[in-house]
Amino acid sequence: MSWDVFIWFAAAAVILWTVGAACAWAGKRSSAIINYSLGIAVFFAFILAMWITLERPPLRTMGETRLWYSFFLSVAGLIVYSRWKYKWILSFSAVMSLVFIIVNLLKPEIHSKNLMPALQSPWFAPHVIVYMFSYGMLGAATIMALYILIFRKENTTEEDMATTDNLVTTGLSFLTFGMLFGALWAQVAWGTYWAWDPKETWAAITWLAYLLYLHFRVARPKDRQTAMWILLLAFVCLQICWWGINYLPSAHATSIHVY
Amino acid sequence: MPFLKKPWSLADGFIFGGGLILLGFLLQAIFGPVNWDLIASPVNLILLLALLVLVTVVYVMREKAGFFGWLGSPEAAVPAISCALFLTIIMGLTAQIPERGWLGNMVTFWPFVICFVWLTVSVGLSAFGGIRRVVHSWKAIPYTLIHLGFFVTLVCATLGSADKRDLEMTLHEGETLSTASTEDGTSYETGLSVRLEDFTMEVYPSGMPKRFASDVLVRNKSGKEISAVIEVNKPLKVDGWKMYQYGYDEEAGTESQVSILEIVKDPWLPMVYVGIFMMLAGAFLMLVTGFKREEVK
Repeated sequence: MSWDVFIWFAAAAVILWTVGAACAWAGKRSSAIINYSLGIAVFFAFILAMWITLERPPLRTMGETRLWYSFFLSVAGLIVYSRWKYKWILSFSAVMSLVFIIVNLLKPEIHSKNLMPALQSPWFAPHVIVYMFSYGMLGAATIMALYILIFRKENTTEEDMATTDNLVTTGLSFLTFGMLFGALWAQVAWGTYWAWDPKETWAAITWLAYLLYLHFRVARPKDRQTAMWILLLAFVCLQICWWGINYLPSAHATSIHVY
Repeated sequence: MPFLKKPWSLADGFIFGGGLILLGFLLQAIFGPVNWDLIASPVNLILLLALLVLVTVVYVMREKAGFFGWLGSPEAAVPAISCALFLTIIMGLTAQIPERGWLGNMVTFWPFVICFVWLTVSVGLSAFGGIRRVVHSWKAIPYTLIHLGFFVTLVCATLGSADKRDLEMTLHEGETLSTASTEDGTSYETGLSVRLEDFTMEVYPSGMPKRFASDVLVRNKSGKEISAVIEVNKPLKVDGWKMYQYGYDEEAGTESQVSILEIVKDPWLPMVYVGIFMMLAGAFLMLVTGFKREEVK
């Protein structure tokens, strides 16, 4: 299995997601869930095959982490749809996943088998997978924030807010796992669990930003607009932490995490 | 003092935070950057005690004065997190190179330190509140574990940093050493005698390092000899020290006969681990039970 066949798996997954999303608009819940799940299964089959071919989890390069992001974003979309029944969510998460698939097709990165010694650790897979799951959940929370700010400004329901809060809580729990797994791993690899490396600094920033959202929701439950703006700010921090850091001159000077 | 008595709000919190940042600038101007070496044991133990007394007193007084009650509330958490977030973003946007002044050395910048102290006190008070509620309802457990875990981690990581010994030992094959050097180059006696028997290095066809390892013979204080292989992600533990494979002679590459070991002793680490595992357990329980079951009434 190689990246050459990615386009076929991706096409099959996107077609199944589109059919699923269309069924959701038409109100056919079970066909929506079945088609969408099949799409996720096809996409995951590619990830698994890559895993086997590379003889290591495909988690190292940017392109590889984007695979997981597309995967978890559609999983998050499916969970939200099956629990809260928003008709639009499947279309939105499919489009978001598609964006990352297109980026992977247009900008394939070097996908070698090589894994440098520091990455050869049992912490590697849980650290990155947990982070990508969290990013998927928080991506879905961002979609909710945009939906609320653009379409539901005047008539936001309790349910909209509960959905957003649940997505953030789930995402933040996984973000906490990812960050602390990283700290435990760094302790084993270098004898330092936290060194304020730029990637760590931005991980802390992202974590604090989502904490700010949750505490703001408790302190000012009625001010929904501000809460949604905090969520958008937090998502910007998340993007800087994930890939934006590669373009920050401050990080380039000192980070061991730039890849 | 009337300002302590009055009920505090979110807006007051941002003014308070602004005041703390100004105070930080003042301290920076008077004392220069925070010198973390000064809090090495036993000073950090005294600071720990002082902090615990402070948090306890504020907690007990929470109903006596508006300010004290406010400090441990979500109304204070929002500005406290915002200030810490703001200063950490500045840190993230500037290259952390100490020679470039305070912007390049945020961990010793007074406003940064003060804002994190405020956050710590706030988290500590929330943890106290959580512990009190756990007695009445198990639903407070995730909240309490996360806040208490974060408090323990922040406090022990910060106070413990001054007691941490982080040394580098550069060994040639066949050489035996007992001293290692600190970051600023001073020599330090470890009490261990370390002999590098062999250094091995493997690379991928592309030239990227695949594995590098040191075959060492270590004699500890009581004279016991330990033969072991140290490699990346596989440290060796002797007499409270941990030895990590750090580097090698990069110019020689696979032919390197030099190994650089990192030798670390961090007496506060077990407490930091306690805090980290409490946070992990709390985050897991939060995931299972969901947000706001308990917090919002």
